[in-house]
Amino acid sequence: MIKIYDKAQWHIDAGESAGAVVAKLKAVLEFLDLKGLLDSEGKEIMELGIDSSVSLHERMLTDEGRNFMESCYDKVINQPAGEMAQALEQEYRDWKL
Amino acid sequence: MFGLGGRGDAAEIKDSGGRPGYTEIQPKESRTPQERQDIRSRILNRDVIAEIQGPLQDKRGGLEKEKEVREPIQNKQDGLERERAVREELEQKYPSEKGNQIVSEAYLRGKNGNIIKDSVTGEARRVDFVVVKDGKAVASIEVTSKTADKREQTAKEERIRDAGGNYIRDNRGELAEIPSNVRTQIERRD
Repeated sequence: MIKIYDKAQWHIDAGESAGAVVAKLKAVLEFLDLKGLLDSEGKEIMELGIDSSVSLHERMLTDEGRNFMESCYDKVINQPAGEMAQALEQEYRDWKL
Repeated sequence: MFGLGGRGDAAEIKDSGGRPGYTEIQPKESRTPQERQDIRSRILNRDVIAEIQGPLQDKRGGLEKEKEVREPIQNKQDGLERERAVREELEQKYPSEKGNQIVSEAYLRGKNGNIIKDSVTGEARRVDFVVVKDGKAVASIEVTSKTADKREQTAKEERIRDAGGNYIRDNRGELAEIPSNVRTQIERRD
C-alpha cells in the first residue's frame, strides 16, 4: 500500500472548507517543489494545478522528499495555509541538520 | 391558525367569522383548565422554536449550526484507517496471485495518457482504488465516511468519463482502460 501523507478529500469530507484545504495542500506542494523534492508524478500535478482532487503520496516524491514527509509532515499538518510554508521551512532546516 | 400574541397564556383572539383556517377562541375566563393547557401547548413561542430548530442562531454573532471542530491530523488518521480497511477487503477479493493489481490514487486520463479535467469545475478526478486485471479496470472504489456528500464528486467523474477520461496508469505505469460498465463504487466506513 502506498504511503499517503495527506489528501484534500479527507478534510473536505470531514466538513472543512474546500478552499482552505486546497490552499494548504498547495502551500505544501509548492514548498516541496521549491526544495526539489517532487518526482515526475508530483511535477505533473503541479503543472496540472492543485484542486480538491489532490493527494500527497510517496509516488509524487523523491527519496529525500519521502524521508522528509515521513519525518516531519504530521508535525505541521494542523498548521493553517498561511503558516504552512514557514512551518515546513523550519522543520526542513531542523531535519537537515 | 392562531395569531401570536403575548397576553399570558392566551393567544390573540381572532374572530374566525366562519373563515377556513381560523379557529375561534373563547374569552380566557370561560376556558376550562384543559382548554388552557391545549392553547399553551399549541402556541408557538421563541422557546419552542429554539427547541425545534436547535442552536441555529447565536444571539450575539449569528453563528451557524454548531459542528464538531476536528484537527486535520484526526481527519488524516480517520481517512487512513478507512482506506486501510477497504484495501484489506480488496486484497481478499482481488488477490494479486490471480493477476490483479490494486492501484491507489489514480487520476482519470485520456487515451493519450493526459489527465482529463472536468469542463464544469476545471478539476481533475483522482480515484482512491482501481483494481486492474489484464490491462483493464475491473473495479473502481471511492472511500469515505458515513456522512460525506459525494454527489458533486460523482457528477464530476461522470462528466470526465463522458469526455474520454476512461484510463488510469497502473502500478507499472501503463495505461489501463476503465470499461464503460465499470463505475466508481462508494464505500462508506465509520
